[in-house]
This record gives sequence, C-alpha cells and structure tokens, in this order.
Amino acid sequence: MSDTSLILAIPALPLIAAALIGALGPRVFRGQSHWVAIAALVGSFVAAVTTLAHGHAYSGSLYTWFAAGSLSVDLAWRYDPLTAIMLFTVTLVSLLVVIYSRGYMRGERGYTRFFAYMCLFVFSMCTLVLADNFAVLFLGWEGVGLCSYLLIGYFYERPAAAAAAKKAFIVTRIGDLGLMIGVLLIYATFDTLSISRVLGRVEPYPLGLSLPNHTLSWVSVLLLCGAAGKSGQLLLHVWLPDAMEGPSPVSALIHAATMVTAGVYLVARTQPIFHFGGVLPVVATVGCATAFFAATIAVVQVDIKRILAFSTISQLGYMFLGVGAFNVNAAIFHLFTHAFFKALLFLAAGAVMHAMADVIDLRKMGGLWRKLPLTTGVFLCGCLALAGIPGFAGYFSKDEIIGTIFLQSNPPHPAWLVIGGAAILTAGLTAFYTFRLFMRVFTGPEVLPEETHGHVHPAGVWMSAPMIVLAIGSVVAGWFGSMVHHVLDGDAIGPLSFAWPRYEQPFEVLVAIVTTVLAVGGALLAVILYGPLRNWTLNAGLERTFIYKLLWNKYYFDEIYNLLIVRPLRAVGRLFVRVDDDGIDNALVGVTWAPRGLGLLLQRAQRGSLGGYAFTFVIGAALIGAAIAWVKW
Amino acid sequence: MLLTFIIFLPTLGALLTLMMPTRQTVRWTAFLFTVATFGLSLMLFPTFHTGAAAAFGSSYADGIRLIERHAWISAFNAQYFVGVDGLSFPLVILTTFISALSALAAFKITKATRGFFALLLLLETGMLGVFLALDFFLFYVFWELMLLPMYFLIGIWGGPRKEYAAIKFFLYTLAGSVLMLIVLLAFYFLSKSATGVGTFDLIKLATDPAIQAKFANASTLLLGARFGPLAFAFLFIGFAIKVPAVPFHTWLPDAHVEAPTPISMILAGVLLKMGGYGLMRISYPILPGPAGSKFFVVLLTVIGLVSILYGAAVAMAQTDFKKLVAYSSVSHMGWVVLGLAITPVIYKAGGNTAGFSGAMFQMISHGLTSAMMFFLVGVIYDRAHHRDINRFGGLALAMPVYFALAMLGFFAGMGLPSLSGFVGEIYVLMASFDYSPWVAGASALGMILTAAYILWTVQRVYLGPAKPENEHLEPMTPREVLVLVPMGLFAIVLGVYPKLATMFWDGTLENICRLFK
Repeated sequence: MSDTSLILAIPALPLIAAALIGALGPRVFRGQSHWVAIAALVGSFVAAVTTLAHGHAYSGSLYTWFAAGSLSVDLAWRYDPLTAIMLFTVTLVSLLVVIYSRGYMRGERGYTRFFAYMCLFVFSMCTLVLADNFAVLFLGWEGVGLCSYLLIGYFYERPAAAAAAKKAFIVTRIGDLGLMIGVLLIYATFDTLSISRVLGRVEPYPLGLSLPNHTLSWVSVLLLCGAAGKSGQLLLHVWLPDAMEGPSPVSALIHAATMVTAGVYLVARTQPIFHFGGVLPVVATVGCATAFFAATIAVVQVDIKRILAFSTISQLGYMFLGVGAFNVNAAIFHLFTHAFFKALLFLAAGAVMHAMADVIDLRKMGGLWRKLPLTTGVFLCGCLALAGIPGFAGYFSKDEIIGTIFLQSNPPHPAWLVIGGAAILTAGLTAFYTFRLFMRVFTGPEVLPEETHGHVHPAGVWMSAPMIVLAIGSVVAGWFGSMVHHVLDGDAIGPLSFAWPRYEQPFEVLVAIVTTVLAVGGALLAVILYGPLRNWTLNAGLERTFIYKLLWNKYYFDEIYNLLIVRPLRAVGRLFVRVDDDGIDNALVGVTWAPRGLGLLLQRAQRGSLGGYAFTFVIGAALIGAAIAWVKW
Repeated sequence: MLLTFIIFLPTLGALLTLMMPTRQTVRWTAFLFTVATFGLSLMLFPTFHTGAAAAFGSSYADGIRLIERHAWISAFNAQYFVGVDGLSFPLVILTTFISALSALAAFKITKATRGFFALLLLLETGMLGVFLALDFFLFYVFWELMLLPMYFLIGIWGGPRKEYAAIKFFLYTLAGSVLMLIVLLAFYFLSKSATGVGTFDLIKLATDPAIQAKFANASTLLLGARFGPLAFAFLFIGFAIKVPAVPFHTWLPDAHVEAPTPISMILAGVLLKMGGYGLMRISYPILPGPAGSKFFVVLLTVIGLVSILYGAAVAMAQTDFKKLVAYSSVSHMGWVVLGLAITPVIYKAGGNTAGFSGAMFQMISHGLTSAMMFFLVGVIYDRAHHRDINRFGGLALAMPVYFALAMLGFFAGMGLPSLSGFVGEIYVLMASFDYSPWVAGASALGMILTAAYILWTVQRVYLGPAKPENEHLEPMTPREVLVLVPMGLFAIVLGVYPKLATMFWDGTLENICRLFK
C-alpha cells in the first residue's frame, strides 16, 4: 500500500464506516455497530502512525470540486508535520473514545446513530486537517460543526440538548461568516484558494508582495473570527458550556480534544498570514483574556462537565496565546497534551455520571473514591496534568507557552508583561478549580445523590481501559515534547509547507518557578479549603458578593446577547411580517380595488371570481394600445 | 421533433387521463406520463454529454441544439421555434424530474382526481414550453398557458383561503405579463424598423447587429422614455414577480400556504425558476446595455440582497411551517437575483462568469431542496392536519425516517458544504466579492439568518419531547420515501460533485456573458 493511499485511508475508513452504520446499522449491526466504528478507527490510527513513521511529506489532489473562470477548487490535500501531529491525536483519541462509548452508550436509544455520527465526525476532522485548499478546509470545518450539532443534540428529546445544539451551530456560524469572507478575500488577493500556494507567496517574500494596505491584516482578523467561533474564544465562547448537553464521550472527543482545537489549527496553519498581517498580538490578547476569564468562571461553577468546559475554553486560550506569542510549536504541543488529559477528564466525568444516575452537580456528591477507586485514580491523573503540577503533561506544554511570552522582546514590552502575568495567574486559578472539583467529588465523607438509590455502577472494562490508556498519556505525554517538536520542526517529516520560526524551546527558570509555585499553591489551597476544612461557610459568605454572582452568571454573556441580538432580530422579523401582510398587501389590495370598482361601475351585471381579472386584462390591453401609440418608429 | 415530443407528451397524457375510468388508473396514467416525459428529456443528454466546448457552440446563437422552426402566424412572423442549449437543458430536466415526483406526491389527492392530474400535466406542458420556446411570442403563449392550470390547481384543490390565494397569484402574474407584453410588442416593431422584418426570434433579437443597434440607440423611445432602460425595467418586474424578488413577492406565501403539496413542489421547484430563466434568456442577452448600467446593477443588487435578508428575517418570524418554507424560497432566490445583477460588471472587468453560474446552480439546487422541503411539510400536514410550528415537537421520536430525510433537506437548503445549496451560494459570494466586499459580507449575513431560522424550526418541530398529540403519527409510507429520496440523493451528488451539473451549462453561460462586451 502506497503512502498516498494510506493517508487517504485515514479519512476514508471512518467515512465508509459512517455510511455503513448509517445504512445498515438499524437493521443489521444494531448492538454490534461499535465494531464497525472500532475497526475503521483502528485502521485510521494504524495508517496515521505508519505514515508518521515513514516520515515523508505528501500532497495530492482528488478531483476538481468546482470551478468558475480562473477559480478552480480542487479537493487538494497535504500531509506535513502539523497535519501528522493532528491526525495522530485525532485518530488515537477518537479510537479510545469510541471504545469507551461501547460501555457508556450501551442501551441508549439510537445506539447505531451515535457511532455513525462519531465516524462522520472523524472523517470531517481528518478532512479539515488534511485540506490544502481553503474551500476544502471549510468543508471539513462545517462538517465537524454539523457532527457537533447532531451529537450535542443526541438526546434530542431533552429541550436543553436541542437548544444547546442549535446555539452551538449558530454561534460558530457567526464566526464562520468571518472565516468565509476571509477566504473570499484570500481568493480576491491571491487568485487561488490553495493553502500551500497562498502561504508560499506570503511566507518567503512578504516584503516583495505588493498588496493593498492591510490586506493581510484583514484576512487574519477574519480568519481569527472563524477560529474564535470554533475554539470558543472570548465573545464567541457561549456555545461551548451548553454543548455539554451532549453525551460525555462527545464532550471528550469533540468539545475538548479535537474539534474545538480546529481554530488553533487554523491559526497555526496560516500563521505567516497572521504574522505579516501584524495580528499575532491580537491573537495572543484574545487567547490570554479567554484563558483568564474562563478560568475565573470555572472557579465557582458546580456542574462537573461545565467546569471542565470552561477549563477547555481556558486551555484553548493558552493555545491561542502560544500561537500569538510566535510559538506555534508550543501551542500545538499543548494541543497534543491537552487532548489526552481533557479527554480523560471528560470520560472520567462521564464515568461519574454513569455511576451517579446522570447527576452531575458536585454539591450532591462526595467521597466517591470508596465506590469508584479506578475513576478516582484516573481523574486524579487528569487533574494533575491539567493543573500543571511538575512532571505531568500539562506542566511541560503550558510552561513552554508562558515561557515564550517573556522572550518576546528584551526588555519585555509592558503589554507582554501584562499578558504573561495574566497567564501565570491563570495557571494558579486552573490548579485551584481543578482540585476544588476533585476534592468535592472524590474526597470527604461519602455522599450519593438520591437518584442513585444507593446503587453505584462502576465503569466496566470497555470504559475503564480507554481511561487507563489516557491516564498514562496524561502522565507521560509531556515527556514527548522533544519528539513533538522534532516532528513539527520538520526534522522527522520532509520539508514543511512553510517554516515557523524555530525556537529552542524556552525554559525560563524564573517563570517556571513562579508558575509552579502558583500552580502547586492553587492546588494546595483547594485541597485545604475543600479537603480537611470543607469550609462551606466560607462559600456561603462569598455567594452574596457581587463578584461571585458575576462569575456564577458567567459574566452575563448569554443575557447580554439575548438582549442585544436575539430579541431585536426576532422583533425585526415580526416587523417585516407586518410590512408584508399589512403594508405591501394592503397597498396592493387597494390597487386591485381600482379596476374592481371601475368594473362594477361599468358592468354591474358581471359576477364571478374571474371578473376582476378579465377587467385587468382590459386595463392591460389599454396599456398596450398606449404603448404602441407612444413608441415612435 | 424530440423537443416537440417532450413539450406535448404531457398534453397527450392529460387527454388520456381524462378518459381513464377509475381513480387508480387516472393516477397511474398521469404518473407514467410524467415519468415518460422525464425519460424523454433524458434523451437530451447525448446532445450535451461531452461537456466539451463544441457542445456549446462558438457563440450564443451557435449553441442552440435540436432546433425546430416552423412558420406559425405568418401575419406577424410568429414562429413555432424551439431549441435547447445549456441554459434551458438543466431546467428542462429539473421540470420533468420535479413533475414526476409531484405526480407521485399527488396520489393523496382524492377530490376530482381526473381534473387535477389533467391540469398537472397541462401545467407541465406550459413549463416545458416556456423553457424550450425561443420565439418570444411562443414563450408568451406558454407563459400564459401555464398560468391557467396553476390558477385552478390552487383555486380548486387549495386550502381554506384558496380563492384569495389563487386570485392573488393570477393578478400578480398577469400584471407581470402585461408589462412583458408591452416589451414583446416593442421588440417586434423596433426590429421591424431596424431590419424591415419584425421578429420575435429571441436569438436573433440578441445577436442581430442592426436590431441591437436600434435597441441601444438613445433616441429609441418607449412610452416616451428611453427604450432600453424602460424595457429592461418592465421585463425585470415581470420576471421578478415570478422569482419572486422583494417587494414583488407577497403572492408567494399565500399561494404556497393554500396550494396542495404537489403544487407547492412545482411552484417552488420549477415555476420560480421561470423568472430567473426569463432574465437570463431575454433580459440579459437582448438588453445587455441596461443590464450592465450602473443604475440597474445597483438596483438589482439591492433587490437581491434585500430578498436574501428580508426573506430570512420574515421566515424566522413565521409560525406556519409552510409559510416559513415559502419565505425561505424568497431568501434563496435572492441569491439568483444577486448573482445575475453583478455579472455584467464583473464579466466586463475580468471575464468572471461566476455570478451566472451561481445563479444557475442556485436555481437547480433550490428546485430540489425547496420541493423537498414543501413535501416534508406536506407529509406532516397530512398526518397532523395543521402546520403550526409551535404545536409540533418531538417528531423525530415518532417518525425517525422522516426526521433523517428532513435533516437532509433542511441542511441542503441551509447551504452546508458538500450539499447542493452551498455551491450556488459560494459562487455568488465569490462573484459579489469581486464586485464589492461589502455586498458579499451583507449577503453572507443571510447565511447566519438562514441557519438561525432553519435550526430553530428543526428544534421546534422535530426535537424535544414528543407532545401527546404527536406521539402516534404514523411513519412515512414507502411512496413518500420514494418521493424524497431522489431529491435528497441529487442534493448530495450535486454538492459533492457539482461539475456533474455545471459541465452542461458553463459554455452557454460564457457565450451569453460575451454579449455583455
């Protein structure tokens, strides 16, 4: 099998599986549908690993999707270091999540539908990262959006799930509007939509490009809109917490490990455009603000999955910050490690839900470690990695990002210092909310929600095995930093489509120490507050403060958007209905009365529904007569 | 003779249908005739299948195939002149395809079946005639011919306010027809003064230098005003009513709401396309000057934009499922107007035909998806006997197959990449970006509104807990599935491999655009 067909097999196998399950699932595969999905994803994963090991870059094109004039959009793909890392991560995590789903989704209605959607998602995601054409990238981009919509709304009989699915699609589509216009601007500027050709023109000779003023800046800002929508960055983040209405494996795969990182991927992929457009500092600012604000919200929430969702938003902010701070390598490395520990945390949260009869409010439970020792263990691994405790995955990648910020200029620009400070502070907050969650759910006296009626279902082997694998990943993924960088630097896989500035990955001793102290301190504070002290009274006091209410209500973004956008839009719709029914129609009814009245006057005898129209004909004939008379030949 | 057979086979079917003894035989006769017409129209493929430049001819006039030309009313040189090119061919296929499916959808009709199917077939003849006639007079006759069956199909088999809706439809179209008639006469007399022989030949009117010079001459007047702009305006209003473009659209929601399901399918799937076709066949080739003038480019661009946004906003506020789909048609057809409006400018500037291509693609795609959506509405109306969106809910649970097909139809309409709706919109977006980034940006805003009203509808109708009154809706019948699946399949195929459609019209559209220079 040639490498080319191996690479194409990576998206093709899940697509075939999705079609097979979709067509035959309900009748033929039924409860065994997961085998089709698992087989396809094992194939994809093996193909991804094999091509990575072969270490060559490839590109190709399937056929011309559509063409008009000078525009020809090919289904072009490109396998390069960035794609290789993404494909590896996507296929590995999706395989593990699908195996887990066999245990988690067992007995749910629409079991086959679930696996069909998951496979369709993996296909779309692989298309997205393989695309070498902005239109094809958009195809994958909207494809993952569709799957996200379908899977958030998987339990569609629940109104909250249906609403969340709609919200996710529409909010990301607002970002997509920017992406789309950005792509059009790219086409107008470069007369091609091929990503490698565009980058090939931008990257080596930026000064030789004669472009209208600020074109690249506009392109970057527009692409950033799309990226921010997909990756839940500030202002467009409101859909991601609600997306937790989807089943936990979906949250783990789509809304933590893969799809939401598509925005980071897009910015990383087109980094030269951002660089020469001068927009990278904006990316960094957006990322930093998102990381900080999302972390503050996570501190007070009580829904386990929503805490993790805000944590995801926050960590995605770190990735944006990394790209914005000129260190794509570190951002992608963080994407890589985050995929492990955040997928793990969601799967483990799913295991908790599974055991607790779908209750997810951490106030209703406690001391679960006795009942769920394995889940507690793996969750702890995830927490240590997320909190950035030295030695665990998140520590290495986050540290690289934060370290980079202070290397921006010498002496550092004040703005970068503020960003760096916020990033470090966020690391402390992250550790705090992570261990607040862990302590309240797993330690202390045992509390079970009423809904369980005292029965706790421990995770079976289908659920446990993937969690164990991910837990190992959460511990060790960070140790492979040099390997990831090796690949991304283009040393393992042939030439890159373009070159990022090569960084000796920074290790700023001072920054590392401060970050570590804050992270460990935050974690310890949470352990003390929610462990032995279990100081609920302190909470009760805090709950009355303004800042707590602000955080509890997530800075009121939903309410503000509802007031400023949703309601006015609906009002406009209703107004236009009035314009149609009362305005235009009444005016026309008035017009039709004229000939009707005239008709009644002249031909009283005439009755019947067609009468008025016959008369209109007369009027028409008169007009024609006038026309002939007026035309001067 | 092939084209004549295609046009009049449905008429023959109508006659036979009237003679059939039972309801069952009436249905099957009518259905088989629509299928036979579809089969016959497929025989046009060999004429175009190469997709090579040769198939389209070297010029607009050279590209007409299978010409049949006979003297008809020699007193004023009206001819029976039919022919097919890349502009009409796809629409002919669409017409026969949608007609066959709507005949299948009409098996539910029980009232005066004979009359219904006979009129349906007669309507098909009218529509095919419009697309294949190349003589303006003949075109006009077919245009009017199609009006009457439609009037009766809505007026007799329609819903509670059927008379109102039918009259409104009739009046609107008639108003447009009158304006068209004025231009038709003017074309005849002006061509007579230019060449000595008056003609209704649409190809000759577009390509004869003497006639074109006469039309373009500033001293040529119509009703006391400059001929070109006024004629273009008259024709535009006539066709815009059909499209329908805001503000000429208010007949559409009423007509759709009252029309029986199969008629809604034809109305949205085919009839609206006659407006776009008329613009592309008559207005733009014959009056390229006014079409490319700044005034009309800007005006039509605004009309297209407003249609896209206004239609979507009004759709969002609807509670009647069918009315919502009707307004989505207004919004989707706005893309057609926008695509056409900007083409003369961008073609003259850089040879870009994407606007025409997009308009054409959008017409075909909308023909499939809107017919699909109207049938989807019809399916639940047949069961629930109402169309109030807020009373539905949880239909996905009761009717899973229906839900799956509905998602396909609505997402194709929404323009999800890899489904047909996306291609037309992206073409028009690219073209309009060439014209002005602000226009592209504003029209792209329509894509968000579209997502909003479609997803909100999906949420209210299909998702959520099943309401007690909707719990026992019977699942789709095989016949209903059979109506939807072909349209759904084409929506996917055209989205994944649009070339399958564009290869049949690219050359012709290029030839028409050349007339702008």
